Amino acid sequence: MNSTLLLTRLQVQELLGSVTSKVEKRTGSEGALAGTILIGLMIIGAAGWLGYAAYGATGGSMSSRVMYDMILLAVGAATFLFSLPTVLSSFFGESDIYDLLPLPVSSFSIVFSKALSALVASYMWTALFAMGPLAGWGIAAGEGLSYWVTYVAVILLAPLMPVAYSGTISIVVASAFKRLRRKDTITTITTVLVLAGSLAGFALSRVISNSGGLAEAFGSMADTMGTVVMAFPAYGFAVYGLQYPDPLSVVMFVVISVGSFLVFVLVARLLYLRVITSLTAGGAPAKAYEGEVRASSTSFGALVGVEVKKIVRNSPVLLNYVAYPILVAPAIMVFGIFNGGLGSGLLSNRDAMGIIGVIIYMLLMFFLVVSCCANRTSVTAISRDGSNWSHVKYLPVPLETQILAKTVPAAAINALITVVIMGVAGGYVAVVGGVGPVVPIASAVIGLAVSWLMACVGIWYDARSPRVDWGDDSSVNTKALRGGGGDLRCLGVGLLLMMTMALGLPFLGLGTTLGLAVAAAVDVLVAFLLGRRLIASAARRLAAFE
Amino acid sequence: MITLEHVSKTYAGKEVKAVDDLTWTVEDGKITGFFGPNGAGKSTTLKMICGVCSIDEGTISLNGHDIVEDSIEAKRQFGYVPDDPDRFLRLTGIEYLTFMADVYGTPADSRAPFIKEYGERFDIYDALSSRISDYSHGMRQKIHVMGALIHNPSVWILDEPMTGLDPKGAYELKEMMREHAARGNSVLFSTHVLETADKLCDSVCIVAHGRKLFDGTLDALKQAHPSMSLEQIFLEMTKDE
Ligand SMILES: Nc1ncnc2c1ncn2[C@@H]1O[C@H](COP(=O)(O)OP(=O)(O)O)[C@@H](O)[C@H]1O
Ligand SMILES: [Mg+2]
Repeated sequence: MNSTLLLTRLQVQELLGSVTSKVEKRTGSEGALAGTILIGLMIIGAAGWLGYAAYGATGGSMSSRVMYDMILLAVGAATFLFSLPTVLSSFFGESDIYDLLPLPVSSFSIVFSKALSALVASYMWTALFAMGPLAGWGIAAGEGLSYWVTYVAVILLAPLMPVAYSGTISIVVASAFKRLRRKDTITTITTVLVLAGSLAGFALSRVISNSGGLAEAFGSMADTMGTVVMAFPAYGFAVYGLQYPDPLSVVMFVVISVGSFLVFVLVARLLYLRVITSLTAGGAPAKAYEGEVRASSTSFGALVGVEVKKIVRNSPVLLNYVAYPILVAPAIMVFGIFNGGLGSGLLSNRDAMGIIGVIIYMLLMFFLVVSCCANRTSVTAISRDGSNWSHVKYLPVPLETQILAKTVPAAAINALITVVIMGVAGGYVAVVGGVGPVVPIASAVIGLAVSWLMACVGIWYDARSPRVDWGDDSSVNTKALRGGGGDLRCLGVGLLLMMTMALGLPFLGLGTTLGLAVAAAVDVLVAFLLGRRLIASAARRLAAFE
Repeated sequence: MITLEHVSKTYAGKEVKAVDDLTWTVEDGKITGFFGPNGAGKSTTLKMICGVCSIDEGTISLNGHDIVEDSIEAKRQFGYVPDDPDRFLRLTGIEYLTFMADVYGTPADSRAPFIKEYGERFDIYDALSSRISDYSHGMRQKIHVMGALIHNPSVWILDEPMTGLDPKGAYELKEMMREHAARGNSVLFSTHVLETADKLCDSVCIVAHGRKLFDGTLDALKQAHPSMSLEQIFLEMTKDE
C-alpha cells in the first residue's frame, strides 16, 4: 500500500508539476493559469445559472426526476465515452510503464495509480454537466440538507462507475487482442469496438423505447432515460437520493460506485501486466527496404507530410484529436434529427417563426461546429514534438513556414468537421426548411473561416510556451491529450465570432439572406488577415522559446 | 568555417553562465574536437551555433553567414546531429531521409546513391523501411548522421556522436568524418571521451564551466604538457576549474 501511495503521489506531482514549474519559469503564465481557471469557473457558473433558470421555466411542468436523470445521463455518457481514450492512453499510450516496471513496486500499485490518473482526468465531465446545474436547480428549489449531502457525494464519486466501465471493457478487449502485439493496433481496435458497441446499444434502446413522432419522443423521454440511467445502477440511487431524504440510497450510491471502481482495478491487476509486457510499440511490421526513393517535394510539402504522419500514426492522438471530434458531431446531429429534436421542432414551426427558426437552427449547428473545431490538433502542435521540438530551430526553413505547416493539418481536420456538419445541416435546412441555397452556403463559408481562425489561435497559444514535457513523438501523456486549456481558448474565440455574427446581423439591416452573404465575406477577410497575423506572432513567440 | 566571437549564454533562472565569453574559430578541412566534462557547456555552444538556443552576447557566423541576422542561409551551411537521437520516431528511416532531403532541396537523383552507400556502411540499409521508434539507440544515431549529411553540408556538427555506437559504427563514423574534412569541409564534434581524440582530431578545444581552457592542435597540447597522457592533461586542466 505504501508504494501505491508513492506512485499515486508521483502521478499527482506530474499533474501539478508542470503547472507550477511553468508559473515559476515564464512570466505571464500566472495570467494563463488564472485565465484557464476563470474560464472554467465561468462555464460552471453559466451551467449553474442554466439549472437555476430551468427550475424557474419548467418547475411546474417538468419533474425534478427528469432533470436529475438528464444530468446524470449526460455525466455518465460523456464520462464513459471520453474516459475511454484517457484510460487507453494511461494504460497503453504513456511509456512511463517501462520506467515503473523495473521498480520494486507491486503490480497492484502500478495498476491502481494508473486507474486513479485516468479517473482524475475524467472529473471534467462531472464539473461541466453536474456541478453547476444541480447546484442551480437545488438553490432554485430550496432543497434541504439531504439534497446537498447527495450532491456532494455525486460530485465526488459520479465518474467512478463510467470510468470503471470503460476501463474494464477496454482492458478486457485489449487483453483479448494481445496476440497482435502492436500497441497502436490494439488501442485502435479497442476504441472502435467499444464505441461501436455502445452506440449500437444506445440506438437499440432508442428503437425499443421510441414509437414515432415528436410528441411521443418527448413523452417517452422520461422512460428512455430511466432505462439508460439503469445502465449505471449507482446513478439510480443518486437520483433517488436527490429526490427524497433517504440516507440509505446515498450509501448505496457510494458503495456501488467505489465497488465498481475496485472491480476495474482488480480486473486490470489480473490482465494488464500480462498484456503490456508482451506488446511492442508501433504499427504494422516492416519489410526489408527495397531501395525505392520518392521524388522530391517542396520543403513546405515535406513539413506538412511529416505533421500528417505524426498524427495519423499516433493512435491516441488520432483518436482523441481527430476521430472524436469528427465522429461525435454527426452522431449528435443524426440523433437530433432522426429523433425529432430541437431541429425539426424549430423548422416545422416556420409559419410562426419564419426564417428566424432557420437561423436559430443554423446557430445551434454552428455551435456544434465551433465546439468540435476546438480540438487539440493545433493547440498541441508544438508541444507534442516533446524533446524533438528543436528541429524547428535548426532546419533552414523560416519559422513562419513551419508554423503554417503545423496549422494546415489542424485546419484540414476543422474544415472536414465543418463541411460534414454544415453539409448535413444545410441540406436539411434547404429541404425541410425550404430556404434558398444562400443560407446554407454562407453558413458553411462562415464555418470554414471561423474554424481556420480557431486553428490559428490554437497554434498561437501553443507557441508561447510549448509544453515539451508532455511527452514526445513516441507517446504523449494525458495532459497533452486533454489539450491543457488551449482548446478552451479556441472555443472562446469561436463563440465570440459566433456572437458577433448573431448580434451584428440585425444591425446591418440588409435582410437575412444578403446579411448572411455579407457576413460570410467579412468573416473570410477577417480570418485571412487575422490568421496571418496570428501565425506571424506565433513564429515570433516560438523564436523566443528555448 | 565557424566563427564565434565573445559568445556568452545564461539559461533563464540560472546564476552561472553556461557559456562564458567564448571566442573560437573552427577551420575548414579539419576535424575539431570539442572536449569538456559533463555540464561544461558543449551542447549549449553547439545549440547556439545551430540557432536552437539564443545568444546572450557575442556573434556566431557560419561561412560568413550570421546565425541571427542571416539565419536561413546560415542554417543551409551545416548538418547537425543532436545529442538526443529520439527524434522523428513515427517516421520510417527512409521517410526521414526523404524529409531531410526535401527540406534542404537535395536533388532527387543524388539521393539514392547516398542512401545506398551510407546505409550499407552503417548496416541499417535493410531497416530503412522500419519506423525509427523500432530502432535501437545506435541505429537512431546512425540515421540522424545520414540525415545530417544527405544535403552534403560544408559544416558538419555532431553532439556526442559516438554514444551508443557499436565498434563498426564508430569506426565508419570516424572514417566519414575524415573523408568529409578531406574534401575541405569542417567537422566539429563534442565528446567527453578522450580516446576518440587521439588519432582523429586535427585540433581541439577544451572547455569547463563554460570557459575555454585550450584551443589548438593536439601536438601543441601534448608539447605543453610533456610526459603526461592525454587523460592526465585533461584531468589536470579541468581539475579546479
Ligand atoms: N535547458 C536548460 N535549462 C537550464 N539550464 C541548462 C539547460 N541546458 C543545459 N543547462 C545547463 O547548462 C550547463 C551546460 O550544459 P550543457 O551545454 O548541456 O553541457 P555539456 O553538453 O557540456 O554536458 C549545465 O550546467 C546545465 O545544467
Ligand atoms: Mg551535452
